[in-house]
Amino acid sequence: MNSENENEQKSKSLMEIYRKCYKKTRIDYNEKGFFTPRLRSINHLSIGRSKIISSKLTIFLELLFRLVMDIKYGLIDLWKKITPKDMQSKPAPGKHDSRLIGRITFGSHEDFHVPIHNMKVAFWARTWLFQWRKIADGITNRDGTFELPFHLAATKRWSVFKTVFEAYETSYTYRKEGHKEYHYRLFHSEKVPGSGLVGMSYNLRTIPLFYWEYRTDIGVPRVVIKDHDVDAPQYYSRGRIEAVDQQIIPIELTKLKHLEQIAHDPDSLTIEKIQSEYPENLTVCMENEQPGCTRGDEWFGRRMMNGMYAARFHQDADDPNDYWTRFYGACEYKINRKYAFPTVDIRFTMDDRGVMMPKEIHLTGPLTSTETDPWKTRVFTPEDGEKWLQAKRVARVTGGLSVELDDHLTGTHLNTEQFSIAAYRNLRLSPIAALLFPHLKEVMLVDHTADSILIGPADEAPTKSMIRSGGLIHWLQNKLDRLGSDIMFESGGYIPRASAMTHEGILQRVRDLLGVQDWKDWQPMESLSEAHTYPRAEKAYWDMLGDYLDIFFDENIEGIREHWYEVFCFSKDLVKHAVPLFNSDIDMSSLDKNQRRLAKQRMQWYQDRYHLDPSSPRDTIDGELKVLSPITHSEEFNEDDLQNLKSACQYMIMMSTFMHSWVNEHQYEDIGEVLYNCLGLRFGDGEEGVMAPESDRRIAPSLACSTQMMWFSNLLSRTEYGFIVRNEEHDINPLLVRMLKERKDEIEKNGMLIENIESRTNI
Amino acid sequence: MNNTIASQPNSIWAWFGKKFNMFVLWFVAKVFGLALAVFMGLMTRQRMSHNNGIAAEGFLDIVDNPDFPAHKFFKPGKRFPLRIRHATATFYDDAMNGIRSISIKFSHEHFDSPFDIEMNTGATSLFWSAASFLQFAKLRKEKYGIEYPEYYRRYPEGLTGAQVSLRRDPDSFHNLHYYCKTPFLFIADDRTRYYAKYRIKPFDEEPETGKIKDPSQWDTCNQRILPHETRGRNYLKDEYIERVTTKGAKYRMQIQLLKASEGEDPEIFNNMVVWDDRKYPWMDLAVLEVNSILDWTDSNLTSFSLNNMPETLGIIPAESIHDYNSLNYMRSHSEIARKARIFAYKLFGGPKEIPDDDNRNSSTID
Repeated sequence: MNSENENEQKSKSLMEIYRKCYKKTRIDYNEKGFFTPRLRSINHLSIGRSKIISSKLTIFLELLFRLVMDIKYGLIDLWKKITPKDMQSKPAPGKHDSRLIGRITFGSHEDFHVPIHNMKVAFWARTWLFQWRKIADGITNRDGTFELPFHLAATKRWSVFKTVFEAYETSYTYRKEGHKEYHYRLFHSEKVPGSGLVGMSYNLRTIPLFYWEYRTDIGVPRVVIKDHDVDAPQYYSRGRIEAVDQQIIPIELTKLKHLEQIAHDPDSLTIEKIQSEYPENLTVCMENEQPGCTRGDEWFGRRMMNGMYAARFHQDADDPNDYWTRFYGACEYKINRKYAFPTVDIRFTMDDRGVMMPKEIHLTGPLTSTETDPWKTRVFTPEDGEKWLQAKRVARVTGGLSVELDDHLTGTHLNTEQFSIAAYRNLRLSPIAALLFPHLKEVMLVDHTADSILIGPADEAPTKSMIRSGGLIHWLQNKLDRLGSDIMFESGGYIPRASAMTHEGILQRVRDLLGVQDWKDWQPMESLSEAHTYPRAEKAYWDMLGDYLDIFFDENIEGIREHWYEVFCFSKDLVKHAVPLFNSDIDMSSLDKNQRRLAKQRMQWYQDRYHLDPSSPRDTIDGELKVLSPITHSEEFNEDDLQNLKSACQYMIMMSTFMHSWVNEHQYEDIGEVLYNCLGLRFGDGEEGVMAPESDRRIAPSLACSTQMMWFSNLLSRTEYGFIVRNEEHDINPLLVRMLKERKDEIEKNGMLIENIESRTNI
Repeated sequence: MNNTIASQPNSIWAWFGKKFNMFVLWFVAKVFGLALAVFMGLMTRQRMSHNNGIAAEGFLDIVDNPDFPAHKFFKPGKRFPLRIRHATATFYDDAMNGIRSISIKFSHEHFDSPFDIEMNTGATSLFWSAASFLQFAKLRKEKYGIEYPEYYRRYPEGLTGAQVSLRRDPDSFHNLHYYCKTPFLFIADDRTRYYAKYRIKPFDEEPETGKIKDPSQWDTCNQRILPHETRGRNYLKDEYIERVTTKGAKYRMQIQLLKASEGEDPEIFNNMVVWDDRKYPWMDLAVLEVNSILDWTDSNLTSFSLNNMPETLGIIPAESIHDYNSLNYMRSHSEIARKARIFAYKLFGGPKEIPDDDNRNSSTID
């Protein structure tokens, strides 16, 4: 009884500390001064020196540049107001004695003949007074062809000095009363020579558009981005850039200060000092309140249940009170030999409060620099004293990296991107476009940034040329820096430097993990106890989404039915470009016994973790069994596939909003303290390898990696923009906002503030 | 952009606009005619297009019991002297894939005639107005027997017109069907106004040869002879000579009439639009019997003009370069080019005959 009371007291105390520190470690926005350093673009972030303007001279030049650009854009906006192009205007009257015809297709080599259907096109005349007159408009047909009938005389008026054909991307916003408004973003424009318009048809021929092309170099569905700032399928909204700008500067400066110190006087810096100069995170705050509380078993269990890990628990076959969870380590992926990354199996016992208390930790794989056997397993229990503490740390680190790669990067970012590409390529007039676009936008931009600064090769050469530095101002800024040390110009990926995973290994892993993500059959996790709050938040949100989609589909069924062809093309693109089902492209007979066992074990685990049914009917394309289930095979509407569409939409919105928000929100809590959890423990040169105390700096991250890790954690968690309830860009359906607010209590009491649920994955 | 009979400017600006458009049409026709005169007629002694031809003579008899309204020029049973000229457009090689023509003159003279009409194979044309014709000329870009690739890409109706008009390796000029394509006036004796189209068919209804069965979207511009062609450059003309000298050539000329009306659709003047022959049936107009061949010199001297028509059968007025009737307007204003060519013959002699040599796919004699 006493020990029960004690536990209860300890738990109360732990939870009180947690709640106090949770409130304390929330985010603030800084004021901007005249000479406040500025970030021009999210893609200018770097683990070395981000392209931040910080010296007075460069700030002055940057402000001058900004002034010129503001004047320029102001003039452009004024010009647009003076010479508006009214997309809603009616075409010029008169008998349609002529036609502008052509065909629009995708432009990349891989899909050159694939038509772009339902694309808005228009034919304009520009007058000598620079006014626009619409001559004709329409949309492309299923085969990409368009025919714009027009009155020839309207193009021959004396007032007309040129005629232009344009193609647009369609997007939507919602007015307050819930009505959808179409918006058209110019995507392609070409002059039509007036002398060529002579009546009958004028053929613009095939117009290939480099529009949401798939990359062909990477083996997973990703979009081509030629230049993040000027030649991408989408761009960040101004608000998004400002949110990063406002938050990142002090953190960037802190990182730069540390890098300078490391370059010049590394002994003057310690991990603790680095930690103290960043904003306090949850675990640091809690340790300050009660040292050791976050290293204990209860905290470990609670974070596994309800933290960033959101672990899946399997009941033990023999003891129903025991549960297991697992985080896969290096497996067979390409790794470096500097960091440990064992596979971790953890056995828990659920106590009477419903908290998972760790009982055993199994580490499989090398734990020292001299070990090579990837199949060797060691088991640790609370009776192992210090080793138990160290094993928990190893488990946190492996779990952290595994969650970041498998659930965060792959399960939300890359998973959402594949839906995003197929959606933007194919959905235009269907109500499904308005439903999904707000949740699928911008993900490819942040993924593109992650390609270099997060998972890019570790040994990328530092860049110092003016052009590659981002222009004169950035180049000048670099020159004005006191230090020219290479560390300041490092521009490779963080994870390959700071963990066992290499860039190639990460690419292999994300491909495999995408091979277990499918919308079909996905369901929220089951809550195992009162204390297991995460699944209840997940389920509440999932159920809310289901209700929202029921109403949305009912209200928009006619439009969905009419434009079912877009859904068909969407499904086709999605499946065609999906990765193979996990293990389906492996010849098991070529694997040895251990490899085979691992492959089967992983499949079994992922089936359960991601609700994947390998026996679901799937399409085989070019010899690959694609993981994503088709939504429909029918070009025409059919009721049977309507539920598929609904389920797929529910899944997409779930992944891009709640699932991403959860892991992103909580990662600073769980990976915001270097010695607590750092994504990678070095082998060091000790006999015990990573099984060493936190005080052993040989296994802790290097000073540079430590400050970079803190920079990352802060960047990813503190610079969010684009929330469902805030609806900053008015593109979220008001119905969703209202229904989410109605579930506020239910979701928030289980660990997620609804104000923090992002509307899309953009960080 | 096309006129109607009843169109009236309803403001001073519309009036000015109309006058300006007519001036532009006149100016373009004159400049084009002058350019033809200088660059084709004087410098090369060539017609604009149909230089590779053969002329013949005979008689033309208006049918005894016409189904068309009475017209004083087309008196039933009336006989006219007849001169015709068959030609292949553009190239000096009969074995190329080309548009074939027949020009008819109700006279035995080289030029003077009460009625001339020019027809080409295919019911529709490759262009439909002066403006589109200028584009056609501009985008020709002929090289080695391939022409108009860009024009066909830009103007799908032009491509369709080419596909229906081109004839590859026909057996004879005689069995082809020729159409005037553009409508003309037909003001009957009772002053009723009609629009008329004409066509020529073989009298015995022998099947037409040379039609392209499966025209290509991309290769229509390729008019070159077939890879293992055995026919010579003059095979069609040689066949015609043989035919006329041994058995003669007999044709049927037909007319299609559409009654003019208030507020009529300008598309009726569009030579890309075939009149529905169920509503506007073809009626026999005349029988043509050709019985003697003219030599190369006479063939070159024989010229045709749309100005050689009675006023009640002449061209329909046009109001702008986009007007469907502007094609005939331009043709009627190219008299200067004919005169320049004939003048050049006098100065430099006529063009030489096309040799049966290996200069294939050629747009020049040599």
